[in-house]
Amino acid sequence: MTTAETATPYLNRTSKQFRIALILGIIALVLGAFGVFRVLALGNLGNLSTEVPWGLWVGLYEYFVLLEVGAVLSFILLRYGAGIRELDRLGPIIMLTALAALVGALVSIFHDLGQPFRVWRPILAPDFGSLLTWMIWLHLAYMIILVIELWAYRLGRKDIVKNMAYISVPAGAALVAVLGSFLSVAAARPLWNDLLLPVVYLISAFVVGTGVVLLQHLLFSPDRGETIYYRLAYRLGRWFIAWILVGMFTALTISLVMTYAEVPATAAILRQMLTGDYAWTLWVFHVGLGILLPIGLLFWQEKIHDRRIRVRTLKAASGLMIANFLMVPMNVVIPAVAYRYDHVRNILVRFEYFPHLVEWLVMFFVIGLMLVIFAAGIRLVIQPFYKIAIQAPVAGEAAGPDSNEDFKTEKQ
Amino acid sequence: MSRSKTVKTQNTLISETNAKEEQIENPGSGTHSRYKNLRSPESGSPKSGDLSRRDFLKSMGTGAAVVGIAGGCSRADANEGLEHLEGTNLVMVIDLQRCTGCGGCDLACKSENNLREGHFWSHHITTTSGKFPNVRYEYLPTLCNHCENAPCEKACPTSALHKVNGGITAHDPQKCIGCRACIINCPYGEVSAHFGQPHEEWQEEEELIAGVTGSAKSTLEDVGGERIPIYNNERENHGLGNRHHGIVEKCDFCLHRLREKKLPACVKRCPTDARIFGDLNDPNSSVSRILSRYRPFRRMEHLGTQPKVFYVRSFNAAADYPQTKGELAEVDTNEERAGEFFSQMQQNQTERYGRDEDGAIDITKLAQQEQLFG
Repeated sequence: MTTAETATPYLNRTSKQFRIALILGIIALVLGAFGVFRVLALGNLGNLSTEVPWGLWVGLYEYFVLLEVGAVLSFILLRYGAGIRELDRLGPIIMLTALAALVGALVSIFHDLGQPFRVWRPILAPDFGSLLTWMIWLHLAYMIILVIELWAYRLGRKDIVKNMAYISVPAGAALVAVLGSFLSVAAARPLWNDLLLPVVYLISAFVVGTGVVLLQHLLFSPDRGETIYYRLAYRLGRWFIAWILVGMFTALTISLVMTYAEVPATAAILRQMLTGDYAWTLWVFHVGLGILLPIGLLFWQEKIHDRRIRVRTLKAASGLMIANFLMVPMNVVIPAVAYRYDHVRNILVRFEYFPHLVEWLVMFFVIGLMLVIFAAGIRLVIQPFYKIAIQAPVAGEAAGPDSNEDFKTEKQ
Repeated sequence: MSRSKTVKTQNTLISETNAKEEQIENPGSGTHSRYKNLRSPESGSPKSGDLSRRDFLKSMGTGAAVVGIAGGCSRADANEGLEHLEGTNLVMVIDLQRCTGCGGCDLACKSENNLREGHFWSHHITTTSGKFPNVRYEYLPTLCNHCENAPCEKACPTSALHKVNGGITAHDPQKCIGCRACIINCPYGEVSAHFGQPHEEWQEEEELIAGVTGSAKSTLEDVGGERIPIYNNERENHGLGNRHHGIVEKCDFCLHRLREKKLPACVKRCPTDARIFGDLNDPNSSVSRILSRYRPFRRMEHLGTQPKVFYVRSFNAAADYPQTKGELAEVDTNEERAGEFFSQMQQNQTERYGRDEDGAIDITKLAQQEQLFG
C-alpha cells in the first residue's frame, strides 16, 4: 500500500473538518456580528464600568493567550524535550490552533478598548515603561513566529520549523510571564499582587496546552485507527494527568498561603470567591467540570480495554478541561476588580458585574472568527503539508536535507 | 526619576475640540468646502508625464496618512504654558480640622470640569462609627494623589498619562486608547472611565422638575444651541468640556487654571481654606510649613506610591472634647463658658494659622497664589 493511498482518507476527513469548522464559524460570526456592531459603531461596552473596568473580554483574552502559548510550549516540550517524534505530524495543527487562539485573543482585547481604532498608538508611539506595551509587542512577535512556522510547514522546510520552534519558546514564555506580571505588579489589587502569578500562569499554560495537544491529536491525527495513534493518545493522557496535578498543587498552595496569611483585603476577596454569590462558577465549572471530572476520566480510562471507548474518554476529559479552563482567568480577573477593599472604612465593597449580552455576542464572534481561521488553515497549510508528506520518499529511501521525512507516518 | 513624556497641551486640546465641534456643527465651514470651487485655469485632461487627478489624489492620500500618523506620534511640549511651574513640586495639604465636610470642593470640580453624572474627580469618603450616643463621624476629602511613583502612569502604554511641570500627573485624551490599565492600577480609585457619548447629558429632554425647570436640551438651546454651557464665555474658566467616549479621565489639579496662574477650582472654592496648595520645594511655602508643623498622613502610604495629597489633623478633633464623647450628663451647659469656647473656635478659623511663637502660617488663597505665582 502506498503512502498516498493511506493518506487519501485523511485528506477527505480534513475536508469534512474544514466544512464543519467553516459552517460553525460563519454561524458564530453572523450571531456575534450584532454585538461587534454595537461595540464598534455605537461604543457599547456592555456592563463594564469605572468600578469594574475589566470583564469577560479581558478574561477571554487571557484564556486565549494561555491557550496559544500553552499549546506551542507543551508541544515543543513533548516533541523536543521528551523526544516524542510521532508528534511531528501534529505540528501544523498545533501551530494553527495557536494562531487561531492568538487572533481570538487580539480581537477580544480590541473590543475591550474604549477607543479601539487608536490601537496603533502602542505600536507606533509606544511607552516601554508599561508592561501592556511589552505584551502588545511580544504578541506581534509571537504572531510573526507562528505565521513563519506555519508557512515553513506548508513548504515542508523542517529546518525552519525546528528553528522557529526554538525561538517560540522564549517568546511564548515571555508573553505569558508578562501577562502574569502585568496583573502581579498591580499593588492596587491585592488578589493579584503576588510574586507567584507569572509562574502560576506559565504552569497553567502547560496544563491547558497539554490538553490542547492531546485533543488535537485525537481529532486531527493522520494516524487515526492505527496503533501509533492509540499509543500516543495514552502517552499524552498521562502527561496531561501529570500537568493537571501540578496545576492543582500550585493553585492549592497559593490559596492556602493567601488564606493562612489572612491579609484582610486578600482574605476577604478570596472568601467571596470561595463562598460568594458567584462561587458556583469556581466550584461547578473550574473545579468540578474542569479539574475533578477530567482527572476521574483520565484515571478511569487507564482501566478500560476497549481502545475506542478509551479514546472517547480521553476526548471528553481534554475537551472538558479546555472548555472549563475559561473559568481560570475569569476567576482571576473578575473578583479582583468586582471587589474592592476600602482601607479607610475597612470594609469590602462589592460592585455588581455579569457580562452583558453584547459581551457574549462579541465572544461568539471571536470564536466564529477563530473557527474560520482554523478552517482556512486546514485548506492552506494542513492539506498542502500532508500532500507534500505523502509524496516524499518513504523511510530508508534517499531524501534531501530539507525533506520532511520526519513528518511521515511511522509504519507499524 | 520621572520619565520625560511630552504631549499636546490641554489648551491646544481645548482649541482642537472646539474646532472639531465647530466643524461638526457647521460642516460647510471646513477647508474642503472653502476650497472646493477653486480650480486651476489650465485644468483639463492630464498631459503625458503630468500627474493625473487620480494619481494626484492617491499621492495626497498617502501623504495625508503619513502626516497623520506622524502627527499622531509626534510629541509637542507637554509643559507648554506651565513654564512658570518648572522646578516646583506641587502638593495639596488638606487640613481635616478646618474641613467642614460641605462638599463644595466636589461641586466646584464637577462644575469646572464638566463632569458627567456619577463622575467625581474630587470626592470624599465618610465613616460613621460607634453607637449612639458615642457616635463618631469622619469625612475624608479625596482626589487624585498625583503620586510621585504613579502606578497609573507606569501602566499607560501610550503615555496618555504623563508627568508635567510641578509633578502633576496629566492626561492626554487624544492619546488614550481606553485600555483602563490605569484604573486597574490606581489604588485610590481616582481614575474614571467615560463610556458615555460627549455631551449626552445635554441632549436629555426630561425636565428636572416637571413644569418648573427646563430640560438639559432646552438649557443648551437657551445658550445658543451650538455650545454646551461650559463654553459660555461669561464663565471665569472651564476645563475640557467635551468628555470623549471610551477613554479615562482624572483630576489634573486644574491644569487649565494653573496655566493662567490660578489655584485649582477646589482650592479656590473651599470656604474654610481647608485645602492648601503650594510648592513643597519652597521651604517658606504654606504647605512646607504646615507639613513641618503637623504630622501628616497620606492614603495607603505602604504601597510606596508617594502621594502628593497630604492630610493633617483630624476631621473630628471636636470629638476629643467630653461633650461629644457621649458623656452627656457632664456636658457643660454654662452659657458663658460655651461662648468662650465658641470665640476660641472662631479665632482658630481666622486666616492666621496656628498660634505658636514660630509665627503664624498664612493660608489665605491670596497668599497661596502669591507664593506660587509671585
